[in-house]
Amino acid sequence: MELSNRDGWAVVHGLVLGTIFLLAFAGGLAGMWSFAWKLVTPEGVRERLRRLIVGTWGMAVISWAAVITGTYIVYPWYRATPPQGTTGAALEEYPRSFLLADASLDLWHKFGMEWKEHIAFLAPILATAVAVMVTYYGPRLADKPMVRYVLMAMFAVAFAAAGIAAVFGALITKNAPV
Amino acid sequence: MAQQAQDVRAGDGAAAAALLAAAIGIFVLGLLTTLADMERFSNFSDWLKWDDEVGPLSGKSSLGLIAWAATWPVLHLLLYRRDRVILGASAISFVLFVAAMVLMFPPVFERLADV
Repeated sequence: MELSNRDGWAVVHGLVLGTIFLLAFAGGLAGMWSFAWKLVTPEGVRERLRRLIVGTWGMAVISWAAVITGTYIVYPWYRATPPQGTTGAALEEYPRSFLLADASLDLWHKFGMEWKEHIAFLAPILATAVAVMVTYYGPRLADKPMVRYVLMAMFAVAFAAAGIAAVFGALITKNAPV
Repeated sequence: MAQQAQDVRAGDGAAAAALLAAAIGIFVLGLLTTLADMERFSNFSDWLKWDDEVGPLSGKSSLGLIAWAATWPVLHLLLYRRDRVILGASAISFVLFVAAMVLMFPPVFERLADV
């Protein structure tokens, strides 16, 4: 059993960072939903705020790490151009070209990767905006249901974008591993 | 002074600015995704290769992030003292977001490639 450098980075990008982000979402959403004066005591608000700030910033940092490792470490291996005349099993070293060379697999690139590589950037943008706003408003967030709803919507879109990227990442890797 | 700062943060303008800036950044990314795929803008697509190994994605994503990071402080300064602007900002952001999702959807930008 051997884990290559490429395998290692693919695991860090998708299985570690991506999975942590997706798993943390439910906690962040529940934290924001219940962050209201009518639901918690002043002491509870202080305690939950600390957790919310740490949680949202943690998710923002993880989403940046996932997107940066994906774009600048794993993706160049995926889109590398094979030397001219490369065919057959040798093409498997070049996942994009391997997928495009097979009419039964090319949609994994043309649809899956083309969508994933762009939509993934929504996650860090939205997660960072949520983390900054949670920090900025602090305990005032408990008085502002509309702001909380907007932040939860942004969080949900970040989760959906990360989910789409994760599902296509896993399926593309199954068909053409980096 | 601290009390004054607290009062300023009681409005929803800062959240509106954060939402709008994110929507603008995402819209720019969507727009560039479609433009970079269009045959008539092939020179632009080449220019977007800020990193040779990553290709046009490096330029598209960087410009989207720059648009987000540049508009956020400006919108924050314009809106942070205001209140009851979150609904309007949500409506504008929703339109920008839907447009971005359409422009970022592969069947759409591939169909527009030859236009």
